[in-house]
Amino acid sequence: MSKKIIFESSEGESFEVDEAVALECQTIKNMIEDDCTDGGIPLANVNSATLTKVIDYCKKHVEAAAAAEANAGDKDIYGANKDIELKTWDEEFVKVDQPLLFDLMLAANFLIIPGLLDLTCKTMMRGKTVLQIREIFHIKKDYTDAEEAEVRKENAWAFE
Amino acid sequence: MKTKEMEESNNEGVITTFRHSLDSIPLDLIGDILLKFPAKSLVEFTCVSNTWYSIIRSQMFIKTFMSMSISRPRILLTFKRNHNGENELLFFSSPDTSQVSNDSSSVVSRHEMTISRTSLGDYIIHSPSVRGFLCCSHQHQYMVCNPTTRQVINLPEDHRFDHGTMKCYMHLGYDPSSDKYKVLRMVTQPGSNLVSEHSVYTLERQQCSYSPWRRVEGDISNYIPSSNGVCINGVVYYEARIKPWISSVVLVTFDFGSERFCQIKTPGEKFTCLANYKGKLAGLSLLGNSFNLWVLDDVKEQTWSKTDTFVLSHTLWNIQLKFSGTTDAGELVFAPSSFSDDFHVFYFDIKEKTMRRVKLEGVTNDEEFRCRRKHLCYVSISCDHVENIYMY
Repeated sequence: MSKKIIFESSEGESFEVDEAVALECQTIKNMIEDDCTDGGIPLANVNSATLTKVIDYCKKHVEAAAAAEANAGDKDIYGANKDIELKTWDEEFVKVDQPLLFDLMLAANFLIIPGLLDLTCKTMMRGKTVLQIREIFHIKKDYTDAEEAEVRKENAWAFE
Repeated sequence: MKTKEMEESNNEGVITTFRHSLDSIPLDLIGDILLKFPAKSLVEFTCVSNTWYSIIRSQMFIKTFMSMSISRPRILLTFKRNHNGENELLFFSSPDTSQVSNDSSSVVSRHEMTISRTSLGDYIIHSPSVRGFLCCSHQHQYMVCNPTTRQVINLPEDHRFDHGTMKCYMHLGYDPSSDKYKVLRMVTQPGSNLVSEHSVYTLERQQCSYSPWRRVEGDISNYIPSSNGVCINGVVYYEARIKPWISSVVLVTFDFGSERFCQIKTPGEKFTCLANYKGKLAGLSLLGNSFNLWVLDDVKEQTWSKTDTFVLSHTLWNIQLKFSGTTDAGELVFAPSSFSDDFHVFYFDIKEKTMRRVKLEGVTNDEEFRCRRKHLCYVSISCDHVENIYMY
């Protein structure tokens, strides 16, 4: 039986995962190496809903990596299909509402999961207008109307 | 605003962190996020807020973006066209194809920018992409442009310069020691083909208005530039014909950092084209459908080595491929000199002596291109183009 790691969400809920899954998070990997994971790892800034998703993501990617390794010999035939399958899974995975996506991004940043950070950022911002981006990132407009008009004019071509 | 969340907790193994309030996600995270996007998106994102604008325009961000760009070079296609009395230069770029293993595949190009002038005469490209910037001219107006940001910087005219009787050559270069882009200008004597004067122009955000071209002295003079220029590590290399004219060719080097010239002996074979071959200068000599590649192994010792002679198949020879440079992996890149609907770029692997071709798609679907294309259009290719978001 593989070693288990226990995460505790901001609500105090416990989540038990295989060590291999926890190792997908660079932050946790460092803690495991420093041997300071006994008694669980409280994640004060990750809520249960987000943590559930994060664990799903790590599990899937550990499984996919293991499957890819097992099929390494047949990679030419199956490797490409597996990549497509994982990509499709990722696309489905991020079909969630904006606030959860935002929390997932922060969690991926904090736990250092580069793949998830990449995926969430791109999903969040792809095809979004400037106004939508301000909303997503809770950015208050700090341009005056005149300033904004000037910056927009200067870069008008990028909005084509 | 950051609020400390777990102050009272001091258990071992507890991650004591700061919860980022939603009003402000950490600045470095914004930087990391923005780096995941292509240049065009970044230009758009400068409109989000002052903070985002400052991040995207900061030296640090531009540098990091550049180092990422270099790891994913692109092919830049430049089309020369004449349309409804307007002379145009169209820029398209497509991703690098070195990861593609099949012998035949395709990539999609996208339109970057078009510049045009109503006055007569074609655009001339003087330097291929140097870290994203190109040097070109139309009539007497010389310019440096960046298709990624669509910025065109007109180089100042020199009033002493008589375009009727004097000729002028330009090479764009990048000096890594000062992190500056410079243009080397070579001017001939009035009524002669011989270069007699060299000057340098440094691109700056705040340009000084007085005499921006600085004379540089070199012990080389009275020559005819006879090849393209290649800039490697802050040094531009170009061939020059010197007296006695028959077969006397030297390689001239100009260091953009120290602003000094040097001469290097060539192996005696006339090069058709110079290129950067895995960080070293190389000369390609084409004879019929066979070619040799000479590599300058040691600049100080001036030692050259010659690779095998390669032969291009007759079918390829018939479409009049033009040598366009090399890839990071050391493949030689060939492309037709005029555009056709079925446009391929050819990659020649010197070691394996194999040729693969990649179809460039997307150009003919592009509205900009379609509505303007009627006549023959000449194409030239830069193999190591990168997206550079630096704005002057």
